[in-house]
Amino acid sequence: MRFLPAIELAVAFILSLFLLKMFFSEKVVFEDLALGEETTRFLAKDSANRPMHIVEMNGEEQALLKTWSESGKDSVVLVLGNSQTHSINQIKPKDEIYVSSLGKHYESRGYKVFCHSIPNASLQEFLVMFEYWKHQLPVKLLLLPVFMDDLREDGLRDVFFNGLIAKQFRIGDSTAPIAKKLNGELSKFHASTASGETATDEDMKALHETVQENVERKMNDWLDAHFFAWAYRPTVRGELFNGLYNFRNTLFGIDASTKRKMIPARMETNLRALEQILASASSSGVKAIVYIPPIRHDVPLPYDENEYISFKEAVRSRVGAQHAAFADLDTLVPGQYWGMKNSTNASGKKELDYMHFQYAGHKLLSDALVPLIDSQLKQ
Amino acid sequence: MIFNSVTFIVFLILVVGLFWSLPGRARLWMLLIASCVFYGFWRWEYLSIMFISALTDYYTSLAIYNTPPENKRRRRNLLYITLVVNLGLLFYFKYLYFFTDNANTLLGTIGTAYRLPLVEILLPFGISFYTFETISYTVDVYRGLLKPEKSFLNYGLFVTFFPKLVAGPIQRAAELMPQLKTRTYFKWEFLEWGIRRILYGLFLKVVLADNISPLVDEGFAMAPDSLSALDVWTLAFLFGLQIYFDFSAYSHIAVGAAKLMGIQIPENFNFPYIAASFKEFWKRWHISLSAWIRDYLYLPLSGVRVMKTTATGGIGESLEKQPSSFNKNRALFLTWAIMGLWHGARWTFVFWGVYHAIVIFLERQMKPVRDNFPVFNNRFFSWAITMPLAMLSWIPFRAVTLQDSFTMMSKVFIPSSYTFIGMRENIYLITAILFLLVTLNAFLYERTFKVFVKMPVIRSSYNVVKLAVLIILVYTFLRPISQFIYFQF
Repeated sequence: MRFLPAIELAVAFILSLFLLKMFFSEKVVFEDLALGEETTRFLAKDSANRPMHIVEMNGEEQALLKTWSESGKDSVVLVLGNSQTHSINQIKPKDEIYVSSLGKHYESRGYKVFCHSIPNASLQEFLVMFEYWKHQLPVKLLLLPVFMDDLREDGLRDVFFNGLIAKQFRIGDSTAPIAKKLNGELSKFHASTASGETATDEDMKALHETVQENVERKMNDWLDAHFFAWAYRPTVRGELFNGLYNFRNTLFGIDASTKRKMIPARMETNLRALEQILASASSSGVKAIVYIPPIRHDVPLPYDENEYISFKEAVRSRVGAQHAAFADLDTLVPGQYWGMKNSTNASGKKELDYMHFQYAGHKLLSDALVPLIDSQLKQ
Repeated sequence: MIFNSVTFIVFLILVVGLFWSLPGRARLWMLLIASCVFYGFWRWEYLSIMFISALTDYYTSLAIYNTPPENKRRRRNLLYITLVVNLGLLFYFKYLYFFTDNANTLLGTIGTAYRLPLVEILLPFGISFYTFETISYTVDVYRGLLKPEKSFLNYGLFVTFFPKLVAGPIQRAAELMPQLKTRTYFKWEFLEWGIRRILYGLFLKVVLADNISPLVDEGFAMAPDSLSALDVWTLAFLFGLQIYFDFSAYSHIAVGAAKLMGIQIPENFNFPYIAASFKEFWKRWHISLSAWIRDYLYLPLSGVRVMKTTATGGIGESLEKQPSSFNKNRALFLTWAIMGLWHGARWTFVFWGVYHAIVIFLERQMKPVRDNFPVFNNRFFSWAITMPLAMLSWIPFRAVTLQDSFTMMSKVFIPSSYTFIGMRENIYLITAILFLLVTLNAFLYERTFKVFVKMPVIRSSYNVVKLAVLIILVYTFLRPISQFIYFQF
């Protein structure tokens, strides 16, 4: 009995080694989990098969600039979006997204359509994206969807802006509070990357500029190189958080159809970003079309109906105040053109996908956008 | 060196291995060198500051001891030397910027163009902790509660002993030095118990505190105006949990690391979030600081003579002789303002301290009322009142400015602020679950232990599963992603 506590500890060590071996066996790609099985990422290319659409900014933005300079330096229709823009549900051969259709349509008319879409993009991120492209390309028109879901987001995510962060990009008009906020975030990201920080450095933030930093890095590198189970720890952390997310959803009966509430403070911050985008576009002579994107209406909305109506009204009034064009396309895509997504809880049942529609939906969207764009380009 | 790192684990294995392999005095030399290496892994150059403080107290305490008691003036002057050097170092490194900045504001207010130069100085890790230890050592000698140590090795080790060097517990010489001088023989229980405590500590830090931290940062980065009352309460509770996990983690690891060498250092926490009054809270939270403040500030300011020296018990102990009401209240407010400033050179910390003083003052004044109404003495009722008030006090502790603190705290008194939320739902959920678990854990801790004693098989199985889960989680999350919060103090 005297040695029982020590025996308990020893058995726990052995058990943990066994369990670790179980956990550290299978690689998971979290991006695939997010989109689901039915949905496929699709990035538009022009008629010469050159990139005209990006998601990340890890140098991909240079490819877009190259396309522009090779294709006659036309005026640009800039399309911003989220994963709805770069995904097709139940993709079939020759299917394409609405950006591809718009690209073909306007290429013959002397306009180049370029698209930048990132998953769950907030309007704050759209502001940074627009400010960047406005200075890189002769943007004639901006096409901007406003998703209610994404107004629940706040701030910038550095993983999508590495190219800008490296260039020390800042929003030009920094007098507006929203621009100050975002410039502050960009500066913070730059400060951590300027010192050559890697993902490992990010994990060692507490040791920055200490004697221990070098020792810890060497040990970590050695462990990474010699033990798969050590190098694989970030993936396991991700798996654990994903497991917690599923557990929460199971416990509270949450799935994609669960009604989510608007977060007023975040919505207001994002609407201020929208105002800033439109003001900036107007002062630069860029026409803007803001639209409420399609959402499926064959089933109840995953929002409180009244909140959804007031969200649309809030966007409409802010856009109107800036004298930009507004369109409500939320009922455009009928129920049969949508699909399902992977389960987000332990039930394993497929869930309704409210964000990503099939090719037919993309076709309807591009058909609806063309007259809107035409009317703005004619002005 | 930071506890939550691979470097520390390798370092600890080496030090513990050497400790049990070396004979008597060589152990102490090894520990002194190891403690210097531990500190030097942050900044070598700052070791000198620690030794200036240590040497000053080493020599002044010997001089005080060798001065006849009747030569009160010389003894007092020697004590002043200690206080001036230690508090001077603390002032220079911790408060100079704060002082000059405030002086400049004052100069501007009275219309003077002259400004004092502002100098930003890097705060040496642990200075608030080791200066308090060295001061207490000399004061104890001055009070006749302790004989000074003749060997600088023993004394130096008391100051630098690495497990408690950077963030406490604030140790008393009378409790640590005899242990260092006595030869301890290896016992398996040291190893087993020490490893368990380190595991618990690392779990609290790398799994809980470090994963809560981004949520707290996100909440406090929001414009205070845009927060609802529910947001403020949630942030108060969430930061309260973060700082508890973070700081108690450090104490667990410190106690565990010392235990690996058979050395006992005082416990710093005892389930503070089940306290039913602020007075009780400070007997359960950062106990060694409360005890220090009690013996070297509160009791002397109250006019009570300190008769013993111990880092245990927390504030409110040793009050057998009741000081006058005026002295008590004056000491209370002064002590808490200083306690606030000890935590950091910002007015928000002073506000935090005064907030605690006000609540304790009210608790005292309400005592006759409480005695007449049994409901007030109901533990659950008192806890339900104490906890929100204690958690709310974390707002000024974490907020950047006084203005932000006032704006946030005022929200809880505005009914219309309860009609909306400003943060993601997960934050409320995580806060509620964690608080519930912490409270339940405290409530069940002793009860389950009593039940388990009668069922050894179940107890052992439970322990094995619990430890295995802790090992996996610590292994997965171990990385020096953030310092311990109390390093900045």
